[in-house]
Amino acid sequence: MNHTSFEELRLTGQLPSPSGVGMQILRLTQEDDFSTEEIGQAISADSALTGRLLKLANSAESGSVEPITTIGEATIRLGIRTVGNVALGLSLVASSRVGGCARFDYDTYWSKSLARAVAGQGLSRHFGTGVPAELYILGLLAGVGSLALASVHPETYGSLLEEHGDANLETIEQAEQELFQISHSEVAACILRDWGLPEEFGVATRDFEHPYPKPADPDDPESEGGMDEVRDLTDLLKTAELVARIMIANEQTKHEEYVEMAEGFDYLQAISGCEPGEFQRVCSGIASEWREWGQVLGIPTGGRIDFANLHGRAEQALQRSNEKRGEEAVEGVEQPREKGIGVVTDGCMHVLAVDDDPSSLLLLKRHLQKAGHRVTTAMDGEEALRLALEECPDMVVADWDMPCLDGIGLCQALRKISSGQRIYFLLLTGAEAEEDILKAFESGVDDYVVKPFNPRILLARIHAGRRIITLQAALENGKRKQQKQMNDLQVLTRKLRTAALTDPLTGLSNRRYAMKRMSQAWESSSRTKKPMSVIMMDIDFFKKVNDLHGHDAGDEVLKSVAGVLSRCCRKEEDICRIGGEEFIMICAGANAVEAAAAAERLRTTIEAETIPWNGVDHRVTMSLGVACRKEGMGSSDDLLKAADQAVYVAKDGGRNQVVISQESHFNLNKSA
Amino acid sequence: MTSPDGTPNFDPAILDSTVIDGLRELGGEDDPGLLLELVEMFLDDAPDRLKEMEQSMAEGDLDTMRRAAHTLKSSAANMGSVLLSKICAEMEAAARSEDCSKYAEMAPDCMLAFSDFETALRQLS
Repeated sequence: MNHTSFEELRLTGQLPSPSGVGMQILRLTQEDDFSTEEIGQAISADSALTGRLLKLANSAESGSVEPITTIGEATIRLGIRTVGNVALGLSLVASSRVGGCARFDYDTYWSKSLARAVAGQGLSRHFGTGVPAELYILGLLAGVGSLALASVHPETYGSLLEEHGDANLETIEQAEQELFQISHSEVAACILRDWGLPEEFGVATRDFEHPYPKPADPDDPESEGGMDEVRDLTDLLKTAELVARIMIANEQTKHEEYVEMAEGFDYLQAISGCEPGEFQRVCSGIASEWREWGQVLGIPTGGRIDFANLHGRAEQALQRSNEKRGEEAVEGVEQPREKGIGVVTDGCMHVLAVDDDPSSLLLLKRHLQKAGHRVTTAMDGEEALRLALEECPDMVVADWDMPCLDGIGLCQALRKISSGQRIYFLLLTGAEAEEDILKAFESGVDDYVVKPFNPRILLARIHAGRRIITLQAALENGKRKQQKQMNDLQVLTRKLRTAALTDPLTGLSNRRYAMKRMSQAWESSSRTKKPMSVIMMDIDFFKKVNDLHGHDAGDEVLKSVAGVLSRCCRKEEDICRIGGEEFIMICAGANAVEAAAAAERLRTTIEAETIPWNGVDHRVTMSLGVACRKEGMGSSDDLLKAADQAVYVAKDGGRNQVVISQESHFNLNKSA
Repeated sequence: MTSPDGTPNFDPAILDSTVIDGLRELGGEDDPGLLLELVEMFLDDAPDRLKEMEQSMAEGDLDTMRRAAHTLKSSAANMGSVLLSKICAEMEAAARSEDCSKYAEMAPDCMLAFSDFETALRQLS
């Protein structure tokens, strides 16, 4: 599968990224010779992160006598890689706790991700599989694909969510493919790879949302969701996902989902290897850890969860929906919660008032409130900085002279950050000396008022500031629209490019793509000296199908065959439709033996496939020719020719067979 | 001192009653307790500022001397003080020009002015 869709997302520079320390660690681990000390130092510089990391290390290592109290100890116990990954994951929470997509429910997203993280860790401990701390991070980050799409395309993804919010996974992924040529699970896998997390993480994130754990189908060992025991990372993540869903379920959760969850949970208990009561206790323990972590990370969590009574809750959900249908649903459309960026209505603004003197602060607050503004308060510069970044007020009114971080320092700090630059800053000062005033304006202050302030003058100046705020908001809107247009254009270009390379009937890549891919693979094979093979395929007696049953039937056959072929082909192989009934599979890196095996696989699968049409089951077969790159071949054209010849021989030899091109065939101009 | 109708008369040298009226008006009907709340807050905090001034004087910590005087000056002015905030302003200036002896000289006046101001404020409740 090509990854250019992800490349485009990455190029926007708007993918979620871990903050500060997380970025540092990412950079460090991308060099091969990073030292444990460097990582330890980077983490220790952030006291909040250190605390959280130690908490995690201690909860992951249950049963150990000595608590872990330093990063160094955590590194010894868990290994530097795990410690680095944990730091990375935790710092993402800090940087992406909120975002700009109005319809994306950041609270629920993080609540569920945290639930998944804690569940993954707890289940890993219980089943004795995987590394608990790693499951924590995998669980926390597994859903990052949706977060990423919401960050890069807030409007488009927002609309997608609004339209398909309640739909099932398949519908959402389909819509994502249509809009972005990539699904959120694929995005997640790419991001995790970018961050240097283990390959297995990406594999797990692709699968974990698909059906709830259920017994494996004895007749089809590769059926989806089948699980006889919890064996690997993917299994663990799937079970964590189920437990997480149960934890965040609430009155809005539908009856059908409850039923599915209840069944899944019953099955989980059965394979948990312990008494049902004990497994429920494990899950309750997970739920209370979830609440604890919610407090530490500032993420909302839920109340007590009754794991024992899921079927009962399913019943309740059914009753609730019946009641609702009975009533006339007169619900207004819920307005999406806009993270106000300079949204000024009726002159009322959100003002952050800062003063270290309590009575002065109260006075200021009351004056502002009386004028109709919404007021948040802070008693020192540090607190004010934090609040300003979290709440994005329209305006800050701050005293100059404060201990630690004073008004000037606060303003300078805010102006360094992009979200802080748009805040209107009004300084209160007792000083009137020229140098002081100049200094104030130099640090980015918009206006100043001398203390003790005349309330009417203060409010008049605040009102004047509103004009600037409105202008800024308009500018920002314009910028965002532009950005959206650019993103949309990119998406459109991508779609057009893809369409030009896609066969509309079957959805497979077309001949143009195939030829490009062939040259590419050929060049790569020349460079790396790795083998390359090609399988050409032709549907037998296709003309007859058209003649006997009409072209619609023929189309149906083509679609079915295409479906089978793409299901059978692996990630490294490309399947293309290059002619009316001709297909090609490009196997980069495969030698003749491997390609022949693949061809035989395809042949038998097609032979076994039934294609229903007008109430009758039809069957088709294919003739396949396999050719492997050999000495003497000058270009990919030669390889194609060889495969083509082999197909010809297969047809001649009775059809429904695989023929491998030999040296002698390559030299033949025409077969006998 | 009170006038015939019982409302306290303030010595304008100590307390500017227009400021007090303004604060009363700010609270208005929605928050009638605002004035007293502010007074309480001020009387709660001010002694700490005075203590800071005293301690920093003893330690020769000019910066704290200046900041404590500055803060008290502002908060006292907010509450309508006249003499007290004036003295604090002068002490602030003294600290800024590193004149420790002047600062120390004015300290007793400051304590007195605060005492008078406090008495005046207490009459409000």
